[in-house]
Amino acid sequence: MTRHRSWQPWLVLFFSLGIFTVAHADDLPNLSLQTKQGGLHLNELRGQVVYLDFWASWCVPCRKSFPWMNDMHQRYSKDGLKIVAINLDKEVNLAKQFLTEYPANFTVAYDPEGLSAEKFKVQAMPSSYLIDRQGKLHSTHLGFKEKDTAAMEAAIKSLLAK
Amino acid sequence: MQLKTKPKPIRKTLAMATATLLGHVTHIGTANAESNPWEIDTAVMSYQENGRVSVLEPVIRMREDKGDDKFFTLKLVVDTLSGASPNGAIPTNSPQTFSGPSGSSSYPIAANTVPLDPNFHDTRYAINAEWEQPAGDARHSIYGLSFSTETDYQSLGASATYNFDFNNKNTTLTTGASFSGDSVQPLGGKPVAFAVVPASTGGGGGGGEDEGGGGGETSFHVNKRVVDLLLGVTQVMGRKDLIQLNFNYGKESGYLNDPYKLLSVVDNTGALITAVAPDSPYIYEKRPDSRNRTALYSRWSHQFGSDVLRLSYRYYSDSWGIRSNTLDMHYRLELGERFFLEPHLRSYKQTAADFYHTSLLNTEVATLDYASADYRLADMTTKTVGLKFGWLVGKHSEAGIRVETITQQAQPSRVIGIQSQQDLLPTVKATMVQLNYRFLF
Amino acid sequence: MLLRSIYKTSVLLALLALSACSFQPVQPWERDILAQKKMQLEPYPLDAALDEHTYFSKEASRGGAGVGGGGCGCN
Repeated sequence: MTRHRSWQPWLVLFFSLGIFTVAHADDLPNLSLQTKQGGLHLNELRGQVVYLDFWASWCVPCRKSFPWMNDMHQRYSKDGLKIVAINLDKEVNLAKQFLTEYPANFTVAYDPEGLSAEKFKVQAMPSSYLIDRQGKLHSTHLGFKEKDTAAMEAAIKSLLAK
Repeated sequence: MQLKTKPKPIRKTLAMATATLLGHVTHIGTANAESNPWEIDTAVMSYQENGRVSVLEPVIRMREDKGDDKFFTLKLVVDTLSGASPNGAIPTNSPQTFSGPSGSSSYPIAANTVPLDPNFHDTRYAINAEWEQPAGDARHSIYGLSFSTETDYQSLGASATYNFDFNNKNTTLTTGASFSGDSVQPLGGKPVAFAVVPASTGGGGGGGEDEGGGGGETSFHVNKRVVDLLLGVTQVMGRKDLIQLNFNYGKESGYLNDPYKLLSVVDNTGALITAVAPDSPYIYEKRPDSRNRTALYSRWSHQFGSDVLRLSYRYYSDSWGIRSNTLDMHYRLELGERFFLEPHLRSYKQTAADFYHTSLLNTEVATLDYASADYRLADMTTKTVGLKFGWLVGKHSEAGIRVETITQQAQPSRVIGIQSQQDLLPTVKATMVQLNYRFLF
Repeated sequence: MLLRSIYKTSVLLALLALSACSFQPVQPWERDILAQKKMQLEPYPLDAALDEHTYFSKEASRGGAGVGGGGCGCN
């Protein structure tokens, strides 16, 4: 996988050529997100395993996913897991109210316009996308169910081990 | 890499302040987190008709979120009815006497008064359980079991509903079926249809069976079966609009009579007439033993600002010749963040069953296949005006009080001779008061 | 007059149903309002069940909203 090891120069080249950009990047659109810490670009997270979550304050299963994501963050962030939970509330204040009840230790980004969800063609709330260290989509997950967490954790571990 | 957070109290205060600014942020509807898997919904309803029946009905509904989109719901209802109900006979210009349904008591009715049977006292207990679970991707199923029992009636039912989501959940197709097997044990036996009601002997008279002179149908237990099929489409019309269209076909068969309803037999002057001297001028009713019904039902929920309008319309038609239109409207008016007022209007109009007769001519008795004088089968309108006040007590609890008035006006199928001096079917007015309390734990 | 208003409403509802073909689809992340309890078709199931029971006892029509529930020998 030498192609991926040296992805940055390649990407620069593709961008400068103005072609192949769509064909490359393993079909994953890049995202520029607003977080508390400022801007965050998805493609800058290469090298880490990214768990990208789309959520909203009104979404019931999202409440259940937060403690689990905190758990994953606590256990695997040192190994290179990066959890980014993109909030899609139209009113950012509702998201902040939610976070007082369900605090997040991982990175929360805000996209009230829903552009990121549109780019990722989000099918359900919540939806999560597991991306490997090479920036390649490993799996997507619709909804949040307790019974699926073991498999999701196993997938995270296997990607971290690569 | 913990995120930097401001000290909690300030954050909380800010959040509350912003919530207040936004207003109308109702969390209770969706706040069924894993820490509060039970939703307990309770209500008690009191229904009081002017001079007729009164009903006291407490209900509790418990719904458990079992996780992974599975839900268990249990509903218990106690329905205590007492008071007087029309027995079907017409008011006349002289006093009348009737034997009670059990034959154990008789009751006098004053002249120019609608005959009401005062012996209605019954308590109905009902239990309803439901299990809801996902059935693969974008579909879920709901299975239900119900049982109810009262003195003279038992019902055992089962239902299944499947919902299929399409189109990013913007469209849902619903199919449902239910069956119930009911058992009726008329007090005093099953009256023989069209049999002459025994004359009241002032307290000791027998019931309807045997003495009716018919075929000696002494069975104390008759059955009724009800099957319903439903096909529906729910469509999201926009961020603030939800619409549903349902088609419902139902078939009832078996014993569909009301064993306590009579018909007055009159001559062509409109006066009561007795065929044979000791007998009474009243006969038992007879309805067909099957009924096919269809209902087309649509409803719409729309949000105006933060208020919500819910509108529904139903067209109903059945093989007994009844057609009805029902229009129902709720408007939830938000009063700040914690309170709401919800006016309710309902308008119902039905045409009479083909065999509805306010009274029967003595010459008709032998020629008719079916006849009933139950005003609920007459040409009728019902108007309901109600108001609900809701209070979001806390994040996980909500209370409400609802007051409604219900006005029913039925039309006689025919007014014969001197019957025009009577108010054959007086307006029925009822008041309903209901208290609600709902909480999560 | 009642009938006229009823027909008007049914025409309105039918038009709404037809316009479903041309509506703007709502994305999964845009369901904030639809997720509210008060926007459900039956936000207060007990109210609906009690009403249904009352009118089942007092009128000759039944059905339409769903299946299930139980029977009664109502007077």
